[in-house]
Amino acid sequence: MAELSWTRRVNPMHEEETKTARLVTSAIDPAEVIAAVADPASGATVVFLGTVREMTGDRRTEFLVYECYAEMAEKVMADLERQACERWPLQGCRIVHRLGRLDPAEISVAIAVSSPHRREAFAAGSWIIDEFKRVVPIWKQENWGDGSSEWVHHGECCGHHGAAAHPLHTDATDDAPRNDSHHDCEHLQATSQIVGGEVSRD
Amino acid sequence: MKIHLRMFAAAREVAGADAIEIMLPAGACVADVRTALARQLPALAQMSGQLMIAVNHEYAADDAPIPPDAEVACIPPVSGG
Repeated sequence: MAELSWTRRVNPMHEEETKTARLVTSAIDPAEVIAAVADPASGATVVFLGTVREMTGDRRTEFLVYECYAEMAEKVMADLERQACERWPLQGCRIVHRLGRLDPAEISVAIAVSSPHRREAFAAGSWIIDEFKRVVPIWKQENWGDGSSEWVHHGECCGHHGAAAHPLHTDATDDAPRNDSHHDCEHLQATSQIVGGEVSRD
Repeated sequence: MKIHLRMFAAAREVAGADAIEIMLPAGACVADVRTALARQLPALAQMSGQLMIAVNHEYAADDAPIPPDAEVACIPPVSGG
């Protein structure tokens, strides 16, 4: 896995694929991700940072280890960027995920989206992180404060997830929130956090 | 034909290796990979319903063919982000 090589990247639909690292093993610098989507035609840049949360209920995370299927993850991430640019009028779109050991508060994933107006950037950023969590072959190993560890496999908690949680399901829906996705599954409280009454794993 | 099946995360730990070799009949499809996997690694049964199979870096349905020399991978439910 190459280290970050930040090549200025405009709308990937209109540009030949540039060789950039979407998977990194060192700290993600949000400024670099933002710079990667900077464009004079943009009036809005939305950035999502996923960070390692220390407490899950009453259990404390000592650290996480992320593993990936690199060849496929790169391809799926590039495809998500391309799809986002097809669905919204974006000037730039970049997804970077970190691998290996991460301590609480460190950034595991960064998504930057720029567009002429903010609505599209917010919508695209939100869609990308939801899709990312559903389809990109990356796995998280929880290493708890008590010394135990376990791989987090969200699909195995219960059998009632809707088709939208299935990687083979093509997301042809509009931008409406997907209430049938595993994000709202209360069986997942072990890896979820209650924020203002909403379940969020971010 | 012999297929090199890549394994990840909990599935890798159950297998005790990051890849296993499985034998498939000529003209095999993804469903045959699942059958061979269940026979070879019965310990995976608990998560077998949740495993996806990827062929050449794309998620593949059970009736998708396995081309010779394809890269095939066993994908447990993902948890990135």
